[in-house]
Amino acid sequence: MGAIQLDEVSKSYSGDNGSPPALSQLSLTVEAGQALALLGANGAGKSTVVHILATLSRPDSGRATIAGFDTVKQASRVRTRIGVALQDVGVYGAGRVRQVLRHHARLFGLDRSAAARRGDEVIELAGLTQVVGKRVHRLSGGTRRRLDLGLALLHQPPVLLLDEPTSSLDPFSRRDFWEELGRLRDAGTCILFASQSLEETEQLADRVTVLVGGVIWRDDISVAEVREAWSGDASDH
Amino acid sequence: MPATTETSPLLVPEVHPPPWIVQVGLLTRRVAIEAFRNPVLILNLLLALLFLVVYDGTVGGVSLLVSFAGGNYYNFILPAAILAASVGGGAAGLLLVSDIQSGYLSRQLTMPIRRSALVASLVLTAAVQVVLQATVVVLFGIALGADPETGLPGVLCVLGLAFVWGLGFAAYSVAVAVFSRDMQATAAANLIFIPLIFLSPLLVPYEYLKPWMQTAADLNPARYVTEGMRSLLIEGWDGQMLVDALLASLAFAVAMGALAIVTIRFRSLGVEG
Repeated sequence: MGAIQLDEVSKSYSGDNGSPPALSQLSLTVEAGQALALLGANGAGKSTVVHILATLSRPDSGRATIAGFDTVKQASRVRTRIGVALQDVGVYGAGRVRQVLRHHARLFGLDRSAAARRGDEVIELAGLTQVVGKRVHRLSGGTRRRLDLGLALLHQPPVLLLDEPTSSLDPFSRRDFWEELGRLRDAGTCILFASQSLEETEQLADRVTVLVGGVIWRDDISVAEVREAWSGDASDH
Repeated sequence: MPATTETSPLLVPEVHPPPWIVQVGLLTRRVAIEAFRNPVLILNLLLALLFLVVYDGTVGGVSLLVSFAGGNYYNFILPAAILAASVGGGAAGLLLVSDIQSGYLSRQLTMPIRRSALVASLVLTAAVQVVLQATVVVLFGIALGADPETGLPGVLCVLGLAFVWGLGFAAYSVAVAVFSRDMQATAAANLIFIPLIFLSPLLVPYEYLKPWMQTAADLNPARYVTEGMRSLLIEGWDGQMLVDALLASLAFAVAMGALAIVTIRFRSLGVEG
């Protein structure tokens, strides 16, 4: 059993009459301590995979599990084991940075002092020390993304699900996060991230899967092979 | 790669989510930070105060109405302004749509938070908001000349009724928000307060309504809440009126709460569980 497992998962969106399914009989396993990059063009099904694993969406057929727990039937157990950063930054605007981190830490069950401690650690980790007292809606897009990623790491989850995690970050922040995510991966955290960036994939992934039209086009492909394929006839992919 | 084992942190999570009531408390605090920074709060309050002043200015000189109000029309019209303030309960739906559109709801849905705690925090904050607005309306009414017959205990009962009514209005707006996921549709749906308060004996006593209007008022929970509040402000303690008002506002809150739950199940806020 993998840390993440998808068994013949299919998904279509209602209203997409005549459109191909977002995912079609997709099977995939990611082990603990592994970082898997899901690559693919827009509409390939990457975000759908992340949404199903994050318990935001249910598959039409097939089964998805995190640590053996079904993402539909055991969603609440799955949610204690995942850290998520979706494409849209999910942070409420009126809160101040330190307040937001402590609030989320409390929701993950930390008591007041532990939440304060962990919040400060993440402030350091995410490079937010200059903006701790600022309200979120006053932060730049990149800083908000750093906070969003910080929230995903806050409760030290064994599984991280990230959708284009560092695309809006400046090069320095991006490098810092890659280093941190690499450390977490080496410590046993399972990471699945959707990406369109070969640089991000090269830095972080130890396995690459390419999706095309909701099915796996190639699994365990090297970044060099992807680069070669993408620089060729893009219409093939 | 290391495989998942019995001792893996995957199987023994460090995360132990707090009890439901603590979740509601934490979430309510967060919602309150958003809600009380919203200028719409002030606009709702001004609307309610306008009700008070305009209706007194318009029909407060009609001697028949003033006689029904025990000589003080502000006592008679105060429930209208309080129910108008209950539109503030619609803030629950608007906040939810804002969370949906900003992506924050998605983050919350991936966390070990109970759906019911999320909804309860929105509804509770909005109902508290209604009570605060109603308090300002009552104080403003007293400053203008209202003289509640039952004194402070009666005013507290009026605010209690406003709270339960506010719960219902907030749950209704959450249902609309989940169904439409659209800010304009949710804001427009809050206009339901217009038929609710005008198809009731809000401006004149029930006996003076036309028969069709009386039938509409009989079916309208706002009638009983209005009359309950009015009895406290004008006549004194009337057990039957109070029970009717409490039952009507509770029935409204329960019905709208059920509507919100059905809508959430129908339109799915992520995977439940």
